Amino acid sequence: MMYNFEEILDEKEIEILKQYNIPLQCERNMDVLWELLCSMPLTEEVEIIADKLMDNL
Amino acid sequence: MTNEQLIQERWKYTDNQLKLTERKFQDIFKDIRDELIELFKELNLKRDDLNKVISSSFKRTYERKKREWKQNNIITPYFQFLINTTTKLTYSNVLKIFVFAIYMKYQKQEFDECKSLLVKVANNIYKQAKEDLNLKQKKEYKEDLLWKNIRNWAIIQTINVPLEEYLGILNQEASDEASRTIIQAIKQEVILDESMLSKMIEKQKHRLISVNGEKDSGMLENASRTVGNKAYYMSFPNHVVRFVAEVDNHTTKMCLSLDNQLFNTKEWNIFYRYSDFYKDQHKFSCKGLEVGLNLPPISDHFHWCRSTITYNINYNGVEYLAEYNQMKSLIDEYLPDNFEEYAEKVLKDDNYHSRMKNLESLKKHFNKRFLMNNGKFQDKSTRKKLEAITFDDYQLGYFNLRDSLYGLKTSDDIVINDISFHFYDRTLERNIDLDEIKNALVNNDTRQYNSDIINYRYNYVNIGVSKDGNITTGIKKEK
Repeated sequence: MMYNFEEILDEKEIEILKQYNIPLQCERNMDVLWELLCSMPLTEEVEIIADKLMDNL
Repeated sequence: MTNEQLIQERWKYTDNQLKLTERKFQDIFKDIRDELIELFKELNLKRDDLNKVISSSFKRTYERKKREWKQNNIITPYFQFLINTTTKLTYSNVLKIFVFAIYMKYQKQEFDECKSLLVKVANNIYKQAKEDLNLKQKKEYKEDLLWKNIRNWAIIQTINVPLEEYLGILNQEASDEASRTIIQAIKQEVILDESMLSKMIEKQKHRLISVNGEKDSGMLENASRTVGNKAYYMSFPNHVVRFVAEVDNHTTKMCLSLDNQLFNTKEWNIFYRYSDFYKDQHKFSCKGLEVGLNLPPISDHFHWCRSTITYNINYNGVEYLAEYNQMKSLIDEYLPDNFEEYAEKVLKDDNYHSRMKNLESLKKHFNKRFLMNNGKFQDKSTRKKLEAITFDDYQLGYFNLRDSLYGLKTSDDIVINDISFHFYDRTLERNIDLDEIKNALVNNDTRQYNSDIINYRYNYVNIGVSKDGNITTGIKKEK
């Protein structure tokens, strides 16, 4: 079952994911998601996205 | 010279002159009292006479008196109005006019006393200002201030009117009071004597001037402080002056918050001051100095203010003054009580200043978070709200974390020299402890270099550090 980020995040946040070439969906698995999140430079904006995605998994 | 000595020196002459003037006013008011008693005896009215129309012989006396008043030049516009509008000439109405005439007779004398006091005070303080500015030799400044120079400065603060007008208002009120008392005596059929009037007369004198050590009050007290302070800077070009408050157990919050602040005398000033209206430190701006706002006597709320200003602004650490006053509104409980102590600490200890600045920003940040989350931080790993945290605990935690991480070298030799408030909040919310942070920074298994942020990862913690050594934020994987 796939985890669709577009359902969770708003447009601005999707833009940030696109900026770092992150796919907009992944497997519903914390390890897979964690790897994806860690591949972005950790700024406050990214951190908010990470929180949202981890909380809603 | 300490602030206390400075205030003593500044107002020494004024205080003496106020005492002398009070004695003169005592004599004036005694005369008024005697004249009122004489008038009572002269008219010799009975209770039933009061509402009767005056007799033709008394009318002649009244007309003669009116001519006398005109000759003596004591008819003011209001007095003329009172005469013109009193069309029903009963004994009580004419009595009121007679009483008013007595007060008007002495008003000129009172005004002359006020004038001479204020001119003396203004010149004394003007001289002090010239000495403070070392202007003894320069001729471009006036030798002496005249009444025409200072008359516009004599504004009575309580109702914001010029001295002359206020004196008129006081006398109107006083004459109303006196005629009421006399009519009362006639109605009760008693003989008016000194004891019946002395309390009223004393009160009326106190409204004008009352000198009693620390409890000086009255219109002239207020006017002389205003005129004195205006005389100190008005005749000179723009300078920087320091506000000096008399600090003791009577000092108001207004004066305390202004104490030692620096102001331009003719240019714009922006400053923080306690305001009784807002019940808080409030930001104000004004061009130059404004009586009641940043020029003593300070009002809002009104009090008998003895504060002053001085050109002597040179003392250690004066450059830290503005920030000290601003900090006071936020982190008062962490600061020394007075500025001198603060300046001393800043000059002695290099870290103290940055720590206080940091504490101030932390409080701003805390207030913002406190208001947004109702004082609670969410522990994301357990999904439970943490108990409300006090600022004292919050700041202790911050400085502990900061001190533990400062100077730490990461696995690729970046020295940590700052941690963001945001990161500190993250450690509280995500429950990331110091060991986990250190592990991530030093014993990490994965590092990822981006343009300006390096991610350090150890197991389930990922910390972002900017290349200049500032920890920006961190995330934690939920187990």
